[in-house]
Amino acid sequence: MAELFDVYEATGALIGAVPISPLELDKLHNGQTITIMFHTPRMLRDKLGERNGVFEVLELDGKLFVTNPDDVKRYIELQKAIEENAKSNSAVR
Amino acid sequence: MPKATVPFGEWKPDLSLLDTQFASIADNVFATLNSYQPIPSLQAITHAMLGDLPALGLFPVRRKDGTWEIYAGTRHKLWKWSFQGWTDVSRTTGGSYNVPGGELWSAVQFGTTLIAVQFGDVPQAIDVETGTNFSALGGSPPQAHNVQVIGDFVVLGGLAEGSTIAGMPTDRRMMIWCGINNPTNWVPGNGLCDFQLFPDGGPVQGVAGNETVAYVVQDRGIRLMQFLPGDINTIFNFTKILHDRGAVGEFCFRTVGDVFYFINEDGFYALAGSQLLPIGQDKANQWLMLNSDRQRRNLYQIVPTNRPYVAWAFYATTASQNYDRIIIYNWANQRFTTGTINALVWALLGSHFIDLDTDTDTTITGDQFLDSGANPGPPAAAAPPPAFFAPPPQTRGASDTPPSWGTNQTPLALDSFAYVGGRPIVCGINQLGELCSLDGPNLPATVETAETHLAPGMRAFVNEVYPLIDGADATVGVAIRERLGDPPVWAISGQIIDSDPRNPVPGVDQIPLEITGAASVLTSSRLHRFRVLIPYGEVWNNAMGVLADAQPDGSA
Repeated sequence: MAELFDVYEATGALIGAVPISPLELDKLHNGQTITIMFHTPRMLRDKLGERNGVFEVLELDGKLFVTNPDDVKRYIELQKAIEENAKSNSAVR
Repeated sequence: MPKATVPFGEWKPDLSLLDTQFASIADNVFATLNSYQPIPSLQAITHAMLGDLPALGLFPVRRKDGTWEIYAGTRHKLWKWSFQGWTDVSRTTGGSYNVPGGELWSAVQFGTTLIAVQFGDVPQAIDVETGTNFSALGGSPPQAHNVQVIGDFVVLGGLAEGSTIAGMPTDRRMMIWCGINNPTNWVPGNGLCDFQLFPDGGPVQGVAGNETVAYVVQDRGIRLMQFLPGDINTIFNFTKILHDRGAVGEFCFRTVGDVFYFINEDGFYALAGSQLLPIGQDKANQWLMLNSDRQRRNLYQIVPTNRPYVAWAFYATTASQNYDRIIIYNWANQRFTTGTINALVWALLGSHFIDLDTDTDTTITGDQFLDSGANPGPPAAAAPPPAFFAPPPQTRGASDTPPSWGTNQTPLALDSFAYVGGRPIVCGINQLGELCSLDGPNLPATVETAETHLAPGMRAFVNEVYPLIDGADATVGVAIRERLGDPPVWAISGQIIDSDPRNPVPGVDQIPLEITGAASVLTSSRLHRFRVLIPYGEVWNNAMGVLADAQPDGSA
C-alpha cells in the first residue's frame, strides 16, 4: 500500500489521510499539482456500490492542500469501507 | 541413368512421409518457400561471464537518447551488461533474490523504469537513466509471476499467494494494473489502478498485447483485455474469447504485430483477433510433444526475431541442463524448422552501441577495444579483453577471468555491429554466462527427405546422390528398406551400417562428396530416403534437395 498523508482544506482544517504514491509525492515536492481520481475497485462494486470522484492536491509549506474537500471526504469514506470489507473478508470468492 | 529429383520439401514430421514431398528432418536451418537456409551459431560478443548462474532472464532497455542497454537476471542477482563485463545491479537491501525453481525473470520497460518480477521477491525497479541498483518498486505492489505494459499501465499477472488486495487474498488467478502512467501507484481504486480475479480459466500466465487491446493468457483460456478510455469505473473490459485452450507456460507466448502466438497443451496456435489458427496441426505439434521434456513444458520460451520467425526454445530431454533445442515458425510461409542450440536464456536485444573510434581517451564505452584494434598489438595488462574474434572458451576457467588478448586479434570491421547500437539481434547467454549473438559461423545442418519409391513397383538401384546445395562440403546418408513393415537402415554399397536412422554418424554412415559433387551410395532397395549433413562453419545459402541417380533394379 502507498503511504498515507494528511490533507487539508484551504482553510487549514484537516480532512484526513489519503494514499499518495512515491511518484506523485515527488511531483508534489517539486511544486506540481497532482490529480487523484478514485473509484470503487471493480470487484468490490457489488458490496460498496459505485463511487468515484476527482480532486487535486498541492503542497504548500510542507502541507498538502486539496481543491475539492467533499470528494476527498468521499474518498476517505470509500477507503474506510474497503478496509472494513477487508476485515470482514466478505469479498473473498 | 535417369535422375530423380527428391526435394527436401516442407518439414512436416507429423504426417506420413511416404512418397510425399515433405522433409522428415530440417535441423539448424531456416525455411524459405523452396529451400532451407543456414542458421548461424551463437557467438560470444565478449567473454565476460555472469558471476551467478543460471541466467534466468535477458532484457533490452532503451534510454532517452535512443541508445540500448542490456540487463540480465540470474537466480540470485540482476546484472547490467557492458563491453567491460557484467555489473551486479542487484538490490542493496533485502539480500539476494530467490527465484524459485521453474521460474524466470519477467521484465518490461515503462518510461525510464525497468521493472523486473518473479514470484520469489517483491517487484524490482531501476531507473535506466540514473539508477545504479535495483530496489523495490514503489507503491508496494504484490509479488507476481509476470509483468507487461499495456498502454499507460503496468500490469502484474499471476499474483503470488500470501498478500491481499483490498482485502482479497491474492492468488495466481488475479492480475492488477497500476495507476495510469504511474507504476508506483498500486492502490486499487486510486488513479485508475484496479485488479481482477478470473473465476475460471486457471492461473494467469501473463498478459500480451500492446496499446489498447491485450490478451490475458491463462492456462485454460484467453481473454481480450480492452481499455475503455473515459470510463473511470471499469477501466478495462474483459471478454473471454477462447475456452479450454491457453498457454502451457508463462513464457511461451507473444504478439507479433496483431497476431498472438502461443503453445497450448496440444501444440502451436496463432490468434488473430478472435480467429484461432492451429498453426502446428499436421505439422509439428506431435513432434514437439515427443521431442521435448514433458516435465518442463511450462518453460517453453518464445524468442522473437527481427525476421519473420517466431522461435520457441525448449528442453529436449529430462537430462537437458539448459535450453538445447528450438523450433522455429516462419509466419510468412507457415513453415516450421528446428535448431539444436544451447543457451540458458534467449532474447531479442538491441545491439549495444560503441562510438566510432575517434579518440583514445577511453571515455567512451568500447574505446579500449577500438583503440587497441586500430593499433594491433597486446594492450596494457589492465585493459579489458576485446574478445570479439577469439573463439569462445569451452570450459569455465579456474579463475573465472575472461581470456586475454590473443596474438591474432583483428581490428573491428567497419561494418561491425558493435559500432551501431540498436540493431535488433537475437541473443542468448551460453552455459558460461557469456552474452552471445546469433551471428556466428553456420551451425551444422541436417536435412532429410521423405521416403520414396524411386522406381514404383520395383527395386531401385541408386548409384550416386547429388545434393542440391550451394556449399562445398556435405555428406550424404541413405536409409533403405524393402517393405514398410521393416525398419529403415543406413547403408553404403549394400552394406548396412547402422540400424538406427535417428542417429547418423558422419564419417561412418555418411558418405562424403566426390569431385563431381555427388556421393557414391550404391544402394539397392524399394524405399530410399536421403539425409544430408552440412558441417559447422560451412558457407552455403540454400539447400533444396538431392538428385538421385537411380534405375530400376528388378522386382525380386
